Amino acid sequence: MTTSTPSPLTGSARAGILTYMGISALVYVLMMSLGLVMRLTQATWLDLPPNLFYEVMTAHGAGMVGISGLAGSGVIWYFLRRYVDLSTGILWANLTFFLTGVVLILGGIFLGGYAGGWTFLFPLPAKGLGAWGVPGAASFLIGLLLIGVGFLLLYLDFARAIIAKYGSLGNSLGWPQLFGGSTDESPPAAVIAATMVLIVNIAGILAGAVVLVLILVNLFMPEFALDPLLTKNLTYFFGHVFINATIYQAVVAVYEILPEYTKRPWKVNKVFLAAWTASTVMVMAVYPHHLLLDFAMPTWALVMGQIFSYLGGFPILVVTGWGALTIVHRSGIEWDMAARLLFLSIFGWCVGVVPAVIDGTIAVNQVMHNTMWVPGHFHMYLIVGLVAMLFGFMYYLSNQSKRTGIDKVAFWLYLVAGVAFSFGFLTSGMNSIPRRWAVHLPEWVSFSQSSSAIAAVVALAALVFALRFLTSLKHARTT
Amino acid sequence: MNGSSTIATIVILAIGLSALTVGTNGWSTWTAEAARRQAVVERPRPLPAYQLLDSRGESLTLAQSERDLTVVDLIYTQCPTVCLAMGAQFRQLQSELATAGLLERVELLSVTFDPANDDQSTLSDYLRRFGAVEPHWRAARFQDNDELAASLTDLGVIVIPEQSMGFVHNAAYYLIENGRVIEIFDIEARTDLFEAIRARLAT
Amino acid sequence: MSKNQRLAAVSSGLLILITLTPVASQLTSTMRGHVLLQIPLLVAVGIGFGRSLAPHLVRFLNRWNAMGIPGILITIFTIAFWMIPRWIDASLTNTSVEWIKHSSLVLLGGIPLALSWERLYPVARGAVKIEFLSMLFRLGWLYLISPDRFCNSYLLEDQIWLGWGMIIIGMALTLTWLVPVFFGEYAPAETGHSSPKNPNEAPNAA
Ligand code: HEM
Ligand SMILES: [Cu+2]
Repeated sequence: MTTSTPSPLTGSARAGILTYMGISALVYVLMMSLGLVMRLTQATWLDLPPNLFYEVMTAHGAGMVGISGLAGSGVIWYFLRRYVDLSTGILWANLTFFLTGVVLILGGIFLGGYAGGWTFLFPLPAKGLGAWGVPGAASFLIGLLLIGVGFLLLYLDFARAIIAKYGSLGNSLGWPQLFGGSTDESPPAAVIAATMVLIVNIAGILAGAVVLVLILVNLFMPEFALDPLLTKNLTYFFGHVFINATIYQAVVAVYEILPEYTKRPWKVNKVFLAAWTASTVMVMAVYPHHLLLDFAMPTWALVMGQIFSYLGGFPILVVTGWGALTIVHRSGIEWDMAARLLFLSIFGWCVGVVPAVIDGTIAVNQVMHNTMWVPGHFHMYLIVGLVAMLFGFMYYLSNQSKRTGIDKVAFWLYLVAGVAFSFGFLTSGMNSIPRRWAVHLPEWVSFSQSSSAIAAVVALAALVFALRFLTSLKHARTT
Repeated sequence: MNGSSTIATIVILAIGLSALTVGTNGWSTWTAEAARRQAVVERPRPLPAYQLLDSRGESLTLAQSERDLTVVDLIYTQCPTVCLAMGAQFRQLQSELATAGLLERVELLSVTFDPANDDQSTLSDYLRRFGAVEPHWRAARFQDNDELAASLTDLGVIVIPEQSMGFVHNAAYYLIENGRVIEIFDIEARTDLFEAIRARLAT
Repeated sequence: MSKNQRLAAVSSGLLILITLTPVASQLTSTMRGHVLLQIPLLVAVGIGFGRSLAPHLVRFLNRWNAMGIPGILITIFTIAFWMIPRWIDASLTNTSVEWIKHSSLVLLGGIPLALSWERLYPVARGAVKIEFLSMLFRLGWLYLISPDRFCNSYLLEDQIWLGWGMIIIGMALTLTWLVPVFFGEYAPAETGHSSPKNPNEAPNAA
């Protein structure tokens, strides 16, 4: 296997995908501007009252994570439909739930004053200390719940369609080929990735559905004292899995577009199958033992959890990086915008994992934890990895990939500034500057000032990508 | 979806949501205990004039009192748990009322639901144990078991006999005015109870 | 006796057993028996009745039950209502509430479930299952942490039992539902969605 045979993309399915990606492009630029606003505040160039800073931080975090989920699911839906029979109605249903949830979340933040961060760590939502009350927190949480319901429907539809074609999720992960010695052709990479994502995300949403409702119960009836550690674990399981799964969805663009460009198939061999299965199992297997047994979280559980949650993604990263190198090597690929951005994204993904692994090492973690090192590693991986991948897909989808001139300039600016911006966070972290502080000490301000200038460049480059996509929707692919 | 099914869906949603809303008094009352307390506040119920006998052999009834307010708790003297707590709280309340100069106007009344074991002298012991100042704090028992059962049902008190611990029962303080229960307080809510008494007597 | 009649007879027998014989009070003597046995059994009786309805009646009802959505909503509301502690308590102290409970769980809980389940779009079926699991976990957790008794008629210890019971049943159900999804071989149909098993399914309900 296989280069896919593009199947027609018309009518409401095409409108659906274009809406998913169009909204994503817009929201990315918007949320980057909010990021810039935060950096400017820390740089003392902008005078934002602290509670507004935390509202902006909450909106930036929730907005970025949510929109990455939406964009990722759009990418995987687009390719998965080439192999299985997906429901367009569900695609739109998810979007409806998503947008309704967004309205509630924004209302909760900017009208209700909720500023407890997108991770809504219990019992923070219930402890607004006057900055926000029950309505703001409840609106935020109900918004998240609705978004979860929408994605649940979408992933259940993936499951239905995949099982209808492949018989079981074991089959669509390639287990007969991996364990059973079957010599039948393996399922295509897009189907394998979709299977992994639907499994971990349905599990994550189930945990989220339980914990969100209970936090809501606690908001209204405080006598139900939730166990904070268990609540935190479930919350993190939900949030971590969801944000991690975004790149496993977006990466399907790499598996599908590079083969199309190089006219070489993406090899789904046993190593590839093993990597995806291993990551699925690691994400799933690591958490339950936290949740059930370790009410008091022994150190070894923390260590295991940290290491696994970073290494869990490692196998996929390795097979993807290796696969991408071999497929491109001496292929005479034309380096258009999509190819560039996709290739950059794999680089960003690898580079982003390095600081993560460093942070996962306990000795370092004791020093770095809750410093800017943490946003440093995930911004690298998200800006240069995930978001680059998504914009790469948008160029492909919009048929604007051959563009040069301003797009090419934007590409180089995005690369250089994206990396530099993340390094700004990392060096701040090495200087023990804490994360999530609205007001910085005078000696930290210079970090924030240089970072602000660089952040503006990132946002500007992203604006070019986004405008290119949004202005060429009518030329977009019909297959 | 066809027309008839759409109508059905809307009707079902309307009925279902109303049933849940009404069944929880507008999403506020989830337990029978909460429902009972809320019902009492909304519709104060007259208590029947059943005869009780207190530890000194004087007869009394919940339907009438010489004082402005009566606070009742339902207990059994061998209780190893909740009733101990209630006894201690009553003692506190007694001294708070005394300090506020309200003790003359309020009657504290502990009524046993275990008349088989709690006779006059056991009830006296109980009062002494908690430092009750008679006649402000009295302890009494029903003379007729059927009347006891009827009163418990009336008040929504459920007593479950249990092997090791005697009885498990939903404990509370009943604030009575003119022979009607006007409010029910949680056993931890002594302060609220005191404030309510003060507010009532101020007017 | 036809298959339908047999099923109806068995369901009636079960209904009589769990409502009219001493088994009834046995089941409700503990909270766990009440919630984890009696209520599911009543719904099961309803499913039995629903499966044995005459075909023309089913055809008539299906007209009002496109894709099974109205029916499953009736079931969900009914079960949700009988999860409210206040009404569980009331069904123990008030005979008319008890009879309403019995009849509604059979008529509005079980029968619509039987008539709707196969007709639901597979995604809706999955969503109902997931919501059911999360309900078990949520309630189980609440029962475990509640400082007070939810029901005046039951002991706190019993309530904790019920909490663990719900969580364990939730996990067992999760596993039971997952195994076929991972290892089962559903007949791979080229067309996608499972073909409606119910011959009365309107071809274009959507
Ligand atoms: C121009 C681009 C961006 C800028 C200027 C920016 C800026 C920031 C800043 C200043 C913070 C707060 C740091 C702190 O003091 O703790 C932050 C946090 C965060 N950012 Fe970004 N960011 C950008 C892009 C992104 C992207 C693309 C994503 C995800 C796809 C993202 C996700 C997050 C998340 C999840 C947080 C954590 C919020 C929290 O701590 O609750 N950011 N960002
Ligand atoms: Cu007691």
